[in-house]
Amino acid sequence: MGSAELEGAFWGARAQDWADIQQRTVRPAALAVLAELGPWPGRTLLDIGCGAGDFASLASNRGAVVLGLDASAALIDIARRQAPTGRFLVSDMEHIPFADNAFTTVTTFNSLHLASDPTLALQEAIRVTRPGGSFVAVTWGPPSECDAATYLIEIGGLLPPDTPTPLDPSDPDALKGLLTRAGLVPSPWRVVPCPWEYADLETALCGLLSTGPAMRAINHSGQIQVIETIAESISPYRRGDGTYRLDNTCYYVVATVDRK
Amino acid sequence: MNFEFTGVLLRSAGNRSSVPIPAATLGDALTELTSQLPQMGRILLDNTGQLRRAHRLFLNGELVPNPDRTMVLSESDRIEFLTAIAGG
Repeated sequence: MGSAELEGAFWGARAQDWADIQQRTVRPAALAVLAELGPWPGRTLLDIGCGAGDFASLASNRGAVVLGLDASAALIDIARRQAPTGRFLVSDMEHIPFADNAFTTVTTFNSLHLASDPTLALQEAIRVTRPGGSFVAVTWGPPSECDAATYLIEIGGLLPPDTPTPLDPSDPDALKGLLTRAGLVPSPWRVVPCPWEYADLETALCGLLSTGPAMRAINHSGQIQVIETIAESISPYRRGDGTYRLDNTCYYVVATVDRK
Repeated sequence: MNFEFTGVLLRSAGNRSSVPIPAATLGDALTELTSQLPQMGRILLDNTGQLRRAHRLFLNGELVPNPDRTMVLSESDRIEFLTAIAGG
């Protein structure tokens, strides 16, 4: 099994929990992108790393023609149900199965850092964006703005030691540097609060265990240790009524693709 | 002793790659460090004040598998961390 297939299998293991609980934590950033780039009728959107299709569905409802790619077949199945007029394919990010200049808008929500080769994935994203079209990259804010940082660090510590991290997901500047090296001129950062909120510990664990890295950690370190570690890492954010709230930011940039 | 930071810890330290701390043990050093740089506390330490296991500690370039807060440090010692961080 190749790296993309393996990544897809980890992300798909608890796909419904991802769709129902965790993916919505990025919804405020999705709504901000929709507002900034609208109007959407006439746009053709490719969402790379589309997960369960939340952003594609929102864009479709606003009139865009939407396509989505994800490494997880289970998530793609959910996306097809969520946005029935869209087209969704299982694919890695480094080999996008579309022609040059096919889309007016290409988005990546917290996905470029999951590519085995983020530079190649970005080149592919640019290739399929029409000149004058928009490329959007979304990532988590720095640790000082993200209560989730402790969760991401603790999960990182439970991964196999040789797990590659070609692009640090906690460093927005690393993402911006990637875009700049690819010849893009990114906008200033847009910062959007994206809290992780859960009704109780059980719901929090369902959401936080549904990510690809969490499943990879379970595969390596065992479910009990992963659950205990996650519960400890989020315990400071438990409120008096038993609910949880982790305050986080998402950062995104928009760049106009201007190939000569 | 000196803490030297890279990656997520470097950013948590306000991009200070080297932070000298006068301390005789690892516990004292971590206490003083997180006093000087409070934003590092939750990143470095768990809810009981112990170093998070996700940070692999290197003393003068040598991995210390299970670092203890009583670990004795000298003025010339250098501590670095290797920290993996997951995407999500």
